[in-house]
Amino acid sequence: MLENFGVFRYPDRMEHQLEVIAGLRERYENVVVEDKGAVFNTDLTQAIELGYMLDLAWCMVQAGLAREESRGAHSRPSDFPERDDERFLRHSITRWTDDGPELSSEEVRMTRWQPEVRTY
Amino acid sequence: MRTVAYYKGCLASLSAKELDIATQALAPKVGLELSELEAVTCCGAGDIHEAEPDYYLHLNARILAYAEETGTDTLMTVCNVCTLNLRQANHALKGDEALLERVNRNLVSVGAPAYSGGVEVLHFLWLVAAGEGYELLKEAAHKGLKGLRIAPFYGCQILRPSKLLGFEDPDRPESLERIIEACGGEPVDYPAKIKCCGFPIIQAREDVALAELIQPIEQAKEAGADAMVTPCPLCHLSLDAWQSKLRKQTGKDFAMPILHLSQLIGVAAGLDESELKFKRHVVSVKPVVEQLAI
Amino acid sequence: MKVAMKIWRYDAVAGERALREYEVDAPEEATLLDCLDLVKDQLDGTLAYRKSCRMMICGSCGMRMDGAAVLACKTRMYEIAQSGHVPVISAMGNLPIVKDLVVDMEPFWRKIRAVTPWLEPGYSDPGERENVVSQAEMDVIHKESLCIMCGCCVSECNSMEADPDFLGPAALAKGMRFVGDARDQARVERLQAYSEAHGIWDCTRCYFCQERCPKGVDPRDAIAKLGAEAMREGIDSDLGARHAKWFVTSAKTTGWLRETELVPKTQGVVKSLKEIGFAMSLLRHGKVPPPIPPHVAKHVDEARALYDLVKHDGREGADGIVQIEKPLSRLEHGEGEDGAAERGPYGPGSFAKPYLPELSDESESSSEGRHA
Repeated sequence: MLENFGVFRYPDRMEHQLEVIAGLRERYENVVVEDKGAVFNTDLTQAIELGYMLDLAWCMVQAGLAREESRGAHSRPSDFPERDDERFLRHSITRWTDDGPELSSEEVRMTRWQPEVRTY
Repeated sequence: MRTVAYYKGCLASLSAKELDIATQALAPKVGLELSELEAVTCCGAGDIHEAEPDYYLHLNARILAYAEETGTDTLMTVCNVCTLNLRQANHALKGDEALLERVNRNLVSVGAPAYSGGVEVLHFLWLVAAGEGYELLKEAAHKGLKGLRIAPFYGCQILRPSKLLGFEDPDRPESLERIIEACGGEPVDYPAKIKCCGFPIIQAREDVALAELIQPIEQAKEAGADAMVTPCPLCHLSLDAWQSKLRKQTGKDFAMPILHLSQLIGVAAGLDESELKFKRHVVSVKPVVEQLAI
Repeated sequence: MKVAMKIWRYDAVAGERALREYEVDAPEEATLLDCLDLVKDQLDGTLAYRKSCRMMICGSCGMRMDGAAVLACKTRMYEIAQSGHVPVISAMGNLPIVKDLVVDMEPFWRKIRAVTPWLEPGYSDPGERENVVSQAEMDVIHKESLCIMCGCCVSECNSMEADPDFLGPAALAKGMRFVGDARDQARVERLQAYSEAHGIWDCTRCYFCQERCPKGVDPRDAIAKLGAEAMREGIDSDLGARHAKWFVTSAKTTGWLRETELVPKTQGVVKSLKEIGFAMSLLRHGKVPPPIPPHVAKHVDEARALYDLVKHDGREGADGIVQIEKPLSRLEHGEGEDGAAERGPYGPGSFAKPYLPELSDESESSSEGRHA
């Protein structure tokens, strides 16, 4: 994820990362937990957390590919270097299903603060 | 000969007089000329520091000032606690001009000399564990310890806090072992050699202190030591004078003779009982005396 | 680089301890924590230890290396590996071991809770305005505020080892953090509580806590400050406080410590009389210097006069305590006072300079993504 889905994201690397995740999820079916103990078993907790992280990773990359703009820590310098408020000033929403993540979006509710160009 | 200002501290002046006597007899043999400071007071241990912190600073500044007045750049101590207290005060005064100015103003107005920061405080241990002092020590220790097994007990405040003391690695010190070997003895290793003897709380919390104190003595005994050596007269007092209390508490008679550093070197350098004053020890040093035919 | 370690394993269920040796291939900049992760990943998944931030701020990874408590994420292994030394890694001391390098921190937390570790502002309704306190006022407790609750100080506390009920350096430093806080209104109550049994006066002054603390809290200095503040408030009936007061009286009168009188002055006449047998054993060997005639220092009038002058200057309590490191000396990361290098368990300069590989220039994918 660090290599292919950091702050700066590229379409080919993101696509590649989906394959990487799929491969890892398949391997995860056979994950081995060496520690069989019941006391402070971090081998087990880490294995459980790994499973959830693989779910989240898929959600993240899917949403990143779909967001065809650059906004904050999601930056696509090679294909979509600018913010696109018209299409993507929206929340990315993911729902988990048996077949994996289902992506949708929601309108952003703006009250007091309006979007501006980010300058410091 | 290296001239140093000599601050003996409270114990070496009174209840641990044997330390002073041995040190003074030994000093010329290891190239040290001692310029004894007379117009000085107790360094305060950690106690005046807590009870009257500013007074502690002034008393130590006064000691440093009188040391500087003798014309030397080194103040030699023979006690861990004095060493820490003096070095701590020295460090604070040298690092803060405004502080030094205020303290000096007070010193001068009571008739004491002012201090300009020209003194370094060094324990006798450091002077003979390395450098020229060490070379002279090796020469002076002609009589030797005949392989006597000695367990070194460092005592907390010659090692920690290392930022202030810094002579050697606080977790792996070697100075006492070097000296024991140079004197022809065999150093004995054991885990509690850098732990606390409990002296600071031996009056206020005796049980706790005794639970600390038993560790080095028991371990040294189990490791086969014939005697222990320490550079601090307060540790010496715990290890020696309070050993009987350990016997009362545990039923174990360790019968472990405790030597001051100056005495250990003194023995190897051929000092006799009049200069070692072993009879002032509570735990008999007779086995050592007999073994080495002092 | 090859890093070899011996790790004390502990199986709580079976009650078995065993020393196991492991060797991993680690990058030169690896810390002890990195090496443990490699052991767990490549050699033995059953190894248990706590970790989280890996940057010396969460306090999770406290453990002993060669018998001395360190933060695993702060301990570089380069010099150790180079020297060929094989360190022994074990759980922290003074706390019950749960498994391998994991200790039960409940006794630690119990003592932290016991010092009322929150601000007592003296009001329940804060009102409209902020309670502003100056930077200078907060600087006073800067060191005590650095505590990350790692337990390294507690691990090595000699007093706690002898008396498990001792509040300990972490709790007392936390106490000082509030005693020294200008906003706190419970100062006197705190000092009274901390001056009771198993508190301030139980500290054996071994300075292990000060030596081991990875953040520069200086717990022993904090305890000294508490003692000074307590005595300033007249909370000084503990034997430890009475012991300290006699040193002052001695210096003010004869210059040298009046050793023989120290015992009854500290413990009271009745207890001293009970110790007569012990006192006799000391007396026989000249260890009980007669109080009369008193051993008076030369020019002791100077010492007496100094006492009054000092009182006049008014630097009382914690304010007067000479600390080894001034409160703000660690704001520049990694440096002590006068630029002195950090000391690790292996002496000065133990922490190797980080080894950073040359950054390769790949034009295919933009270089910005390379080391995200």
